Amino acid sequence: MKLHSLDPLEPPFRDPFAAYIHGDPQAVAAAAPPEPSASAWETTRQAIHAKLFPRSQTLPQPANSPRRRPWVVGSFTALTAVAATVVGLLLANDFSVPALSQFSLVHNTPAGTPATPSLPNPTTTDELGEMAILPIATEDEVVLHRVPGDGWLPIGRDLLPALIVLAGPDEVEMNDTPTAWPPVVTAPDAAPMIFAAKPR
Amino acid sequence: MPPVASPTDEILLRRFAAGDRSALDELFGRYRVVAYRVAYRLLGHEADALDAVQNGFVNALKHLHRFRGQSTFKTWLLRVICNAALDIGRQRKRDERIPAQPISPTLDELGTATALPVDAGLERDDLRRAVDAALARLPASQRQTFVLHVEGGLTYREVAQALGISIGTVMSRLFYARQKLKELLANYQPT
Repeated sequence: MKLHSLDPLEPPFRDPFAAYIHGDPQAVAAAAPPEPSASAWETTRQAIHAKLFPRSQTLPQPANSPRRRPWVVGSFTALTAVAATVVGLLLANDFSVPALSQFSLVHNTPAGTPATPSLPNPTTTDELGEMAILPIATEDEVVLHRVPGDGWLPIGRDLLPALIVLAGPDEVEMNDTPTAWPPVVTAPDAAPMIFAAKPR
Repeated sequence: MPPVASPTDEILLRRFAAGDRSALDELFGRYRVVAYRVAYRLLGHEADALDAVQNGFVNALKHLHRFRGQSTFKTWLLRVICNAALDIGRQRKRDERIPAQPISPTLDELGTATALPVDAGLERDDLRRAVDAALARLPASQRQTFVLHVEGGLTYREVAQALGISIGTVMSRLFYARQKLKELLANYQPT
């Protein structure tokens, strides 16, 4: 497979390395590592099965095991549950029938089976969920080479004023700051600021 | 006849929790390749990557109770795969019989043999080996972030969830990773 050149700035990229670096699917597929053989996959799959489903759980139970009397345990459990429910309803003085959704089903998990997972809850509404990029620079993304003059250094602006409430300069109290730090001056528009020692 | 829709991850996880082995096979078939690519890019070695895939699947499914559903199962799985790969990498380092960095030829070792003539295009193997070597030179945190985004196909937000870092840190690491990769691969770019 050959990747041929086009425009370096627009996909499909002229430069396959640049395309890969920027996550172009074609370039990523072309640079993909060699896939394991079918037998290697099968060995891995079997190893996963062996660890998650130990053989002991599949062994047949002895004929005289307690599993022969499940109805005794089941009946007792059911009676206890019913009694507890009735007492609970009486104490709560609430005879309305609760919605089915208020109950959760509990399965008796045989020994050796995987632990019952906590399955995903319905995802809460996330106003930023669809935003792939939140372009606010962090302090390690800003390199200050030289800043002439004295005073404050605003970087960026409040991109999401309704969603993110930023503290204003008058809400921040700085104690025992290193003397090398510049004096804190209130920004005219209370923009987010990074205060940093200026390179000397 | 309409195509049969594949069961969702949630359905497969419920089936798995109920002891359905075929659900495990479906999950494995669905995510094994992306899990392998992420592990391979972190470890640079097929056998180690397969070990990481195996340990990752086992750990992810054994500890599903820790999966809160705040991310997709894929994000959760790749997070665990990453941790498994890091464990294997640390073990490899302790053993000191295999180099700690991913096992890939260095860019110097690739040398001029990989430098391609103008307009010749780039062979797939050359591209892969050069990428392997360049990724091996990245700091671990940058490599992990870059690999999850580019090879794992996770969004910035998902990478942040997988690594437990902010989106800003994801962007920062990706920026520096791309800068470094550009420098490392510059000698191999067709002119």
